[in-house]
Amino acid sequence: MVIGYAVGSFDLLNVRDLDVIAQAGERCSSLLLGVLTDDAAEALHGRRPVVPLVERMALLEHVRGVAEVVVHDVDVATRADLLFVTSPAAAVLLPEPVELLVPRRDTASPMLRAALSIGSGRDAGVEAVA
Amino acid sequence: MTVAPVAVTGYVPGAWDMFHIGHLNILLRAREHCDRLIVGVVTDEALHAAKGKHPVVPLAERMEVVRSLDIVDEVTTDFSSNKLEVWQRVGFDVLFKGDDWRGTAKGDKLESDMVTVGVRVHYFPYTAHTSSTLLRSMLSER
Repeated sequence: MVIGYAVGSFDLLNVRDLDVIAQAGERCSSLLLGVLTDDAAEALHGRRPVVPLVERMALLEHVRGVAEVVVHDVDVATRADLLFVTSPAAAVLLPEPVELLVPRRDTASPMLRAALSIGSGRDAGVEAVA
Repeated sequence: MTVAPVAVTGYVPGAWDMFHIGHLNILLRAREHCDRLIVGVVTDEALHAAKGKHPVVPLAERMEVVRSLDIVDEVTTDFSSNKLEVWQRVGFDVLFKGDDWRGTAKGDKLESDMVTVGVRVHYFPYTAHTSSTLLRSMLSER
């Protein structure tokens, strides 16, 4: 039994999130999602999630292939066999080794992309500092 | 003689744009009243015709998000406000609809259409619309 743990904010649940969840799911037999609090997400990405934590978690609990959803907790993460992040900036939240899940697809919605700051380079900037 | 339990198939149409907690609650509630849940996702065109606005998320992605949920058994495209069209394609016993339709001309039309094929219309409180409107305005402010 391989337990995977993926950290992310999973804001405005969309096909990009579903793709990284599927990628993580393919690598383990039980997938836990560690969801960033609104404050943690803002500190990490410089952008507060549109959807509050409890609502982001409620949706994820019903996504197929997700065994458990927790508020991100490094103690829970260390009990997992494989650790994943969905943004380069989030790697600082987990002990090594961490694998970055790169979405193979993205939402085609311009409004959603703008709200999620996709392509703004915000993450890339944080990565360069880290 | 034993009678096999009859599985009830439910159908719930919607735009499911920017899928959120209000949508999830509708699906959870619908799921309580049927054994198998089919979710209809309204096309961009039908949505524009009915509400005069375009969805934020395109049809294929809205369908994919709904399909990813463990409480949903089947997802289908909903092309028309004439629900006999989708009934002929997928078949269902009960159609779930927001109670803002109850007692209106379109609600009455829906009920009379559905009764011809033995389908019951089950109303329950819909709060998804306000949440979607709020989300839309939050997104456009960013």
